[in-house]
Amino acid sequence: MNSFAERLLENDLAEMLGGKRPPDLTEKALARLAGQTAPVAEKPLAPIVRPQFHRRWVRWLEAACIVIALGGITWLLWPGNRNTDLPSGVKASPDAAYAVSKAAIRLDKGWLYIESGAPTIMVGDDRVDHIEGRAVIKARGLTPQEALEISRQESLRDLSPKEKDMLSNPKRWLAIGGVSICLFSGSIAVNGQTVAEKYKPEPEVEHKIEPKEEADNPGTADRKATGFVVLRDYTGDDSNIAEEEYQLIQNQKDLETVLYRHKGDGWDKLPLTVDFSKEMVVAIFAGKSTNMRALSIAGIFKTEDHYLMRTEAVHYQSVGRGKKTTSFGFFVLPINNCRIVVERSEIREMHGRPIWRVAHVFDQGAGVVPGLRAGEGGALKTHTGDNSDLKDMRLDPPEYCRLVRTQAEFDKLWASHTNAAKPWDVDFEKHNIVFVLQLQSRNSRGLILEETLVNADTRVLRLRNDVDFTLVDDDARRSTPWAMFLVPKDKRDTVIESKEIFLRVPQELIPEYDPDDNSPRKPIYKARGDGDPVYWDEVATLKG
Amino acid sequence: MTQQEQLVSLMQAHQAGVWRYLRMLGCQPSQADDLTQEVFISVMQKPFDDHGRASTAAYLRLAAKHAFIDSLRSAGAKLAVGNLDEADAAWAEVTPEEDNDRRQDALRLCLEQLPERARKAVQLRYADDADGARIAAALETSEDGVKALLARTRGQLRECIERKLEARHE
Repeated sequence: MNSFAERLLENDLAEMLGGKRPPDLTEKALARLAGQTAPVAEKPLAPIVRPQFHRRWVRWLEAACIVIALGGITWLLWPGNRNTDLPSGVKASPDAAYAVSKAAIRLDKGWLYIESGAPTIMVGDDRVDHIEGRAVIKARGLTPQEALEISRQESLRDLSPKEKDMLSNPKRWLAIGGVSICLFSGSIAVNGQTVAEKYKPEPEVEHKIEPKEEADNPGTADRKATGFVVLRDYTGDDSNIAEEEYQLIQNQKDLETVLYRHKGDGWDKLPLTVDFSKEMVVAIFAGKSTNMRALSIAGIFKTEDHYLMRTEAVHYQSVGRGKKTTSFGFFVLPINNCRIVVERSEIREMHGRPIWRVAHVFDQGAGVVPGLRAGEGGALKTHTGDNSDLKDMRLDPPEYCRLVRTQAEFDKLWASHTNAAKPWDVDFEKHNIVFVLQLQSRNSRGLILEETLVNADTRVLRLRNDVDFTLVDDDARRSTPWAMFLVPKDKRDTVIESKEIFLRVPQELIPEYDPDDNSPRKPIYKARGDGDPVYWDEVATLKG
Repeated sequence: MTQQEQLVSLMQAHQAGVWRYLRMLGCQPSQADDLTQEVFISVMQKPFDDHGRASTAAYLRLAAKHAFIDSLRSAGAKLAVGNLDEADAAWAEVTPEEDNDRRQDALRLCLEQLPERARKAVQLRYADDADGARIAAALETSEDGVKALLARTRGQLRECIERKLEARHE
């Protein structure tokens, strides 16, 4: 029994025997919803009264309800009874099989074109909803031939040439569960996971990151990389490998070994072919989980000295105990011999702001990613300090992040921030300023840019506090560390990440004593978290 | 239905479950009160479709988990969010179809089946809030004995609950 199960049982016992029932918070919530803050007295929920002599009768009623519900569903799904009137803005393929109800459209075969405001689409157990934009949803998988045929459909003749190109290119389709989706614009939720247009697979050229030159990588002439992107993937939820594991596979023999461990007999029929003269495979096994449909790549970044792959679990919602899964992902990448760091999001569910943690590092030897060049989107200059007058303003705590795009905006911000002269003149035709402030800290001398991640869509600035550990006890002082970064004026979003919680709370210093030393002396202090795994907590996303 | 009416309806049906889940995650009662309200208000402020009681309960539980993680973040508590998967597994194990009543019904029946001595220890501990010394005095045993007895009894209760839920499921 884990600690949660233990706690649940103890709480149930306290509730049942000690009368510690959940309070009725309805009035408080209503007051909060209405913007009121006046305290409202709690009242305990009425106890559940379930007289025993009603049990049998209730069970008969439950059974009758189930029979009626099943009958209703059968009636709805019976071909002759299906409502096939599609709502406005929804189009179906000529061969589509679907049923329309008030709340949703169930798609069994073919495809649907949908726009903002379309109802929920159910495909098997998969659920597609909250479309903000335009998309085509297809039931089941998609072959290149089918993609081409859809793009030529007469009913989609109003699409732009670019959108038709997207439809015809299987790489521009997302495959999630039993649904294939081509998202032209906006965002959509699939099984509760929001997918934005920018996350769809991009053509390789748009992600292209130049590899290290051959001359700097002796012996790699025959392995010249053509970029670093996921070329193909093979993912699912039923691997025989039930422990978390990471593999970098660089030859056919190793691939076959891993595939055999992964599936046993029948491994040779798996949909994965690799040309090891120019490709390699990163295989990730997530171990035992619940309702994890697959692994996906949330992004590939270039840093100062390595490539970084971010993986995310694709979960779905179910009721009851959920399905036990052993998810996996085989990701085919162009060959390189650089260091590859795999990070995973510790928040594995929908709607969560990610917290990233290094899951594995592939050290491949001599290859080194060339440092970020000036034009590649990283920070060009940084400036930091430990005191800002902005602390006197009413800001949203605990941090304050802003993308400054114009001189007027910069002047106004700087005037509120300090009386000192600006460190740089900024040409806002070419550059922007990213300004980050931490309202409360202790002993911080400023914010240090520890790492920059860049890809075609995003730059990630990873910050940590520069803490003066010599200032302890009475010498400790409060500070408002801040930093600003000169970045290229481009369309990338800027994401600010903080090293674990350091940007969010006053630094906590923990005294450490030598247990064998009883002499009176000052303790040695260390920061909370030293030696623990590093978490990168997403603080803010500034839209480019 | 107005937004207020929707909120009332949703809370009457699900607030106890959300509150219990938050308590299981480790919230103190006052924090569970706050976060429960937050969960329902935030859900009301987003597009929300009701796809049945169990589905809604699961969705609210997810929202509660994220509210809890956010509260840890802003309080600067150490994050071990990976462990929360275990919380979901523990919850799902004994809360079939998100039905808290079935779990508590099973517990009620299991309590009745406990041996007299174990039932008395549980009663003293959870109904009377008695400490180890008082229970030890009442049962004429040592405090360590009480500790072991309670741990063993909780294990038995847990197994009994699982058996009863499993039997009903089949």
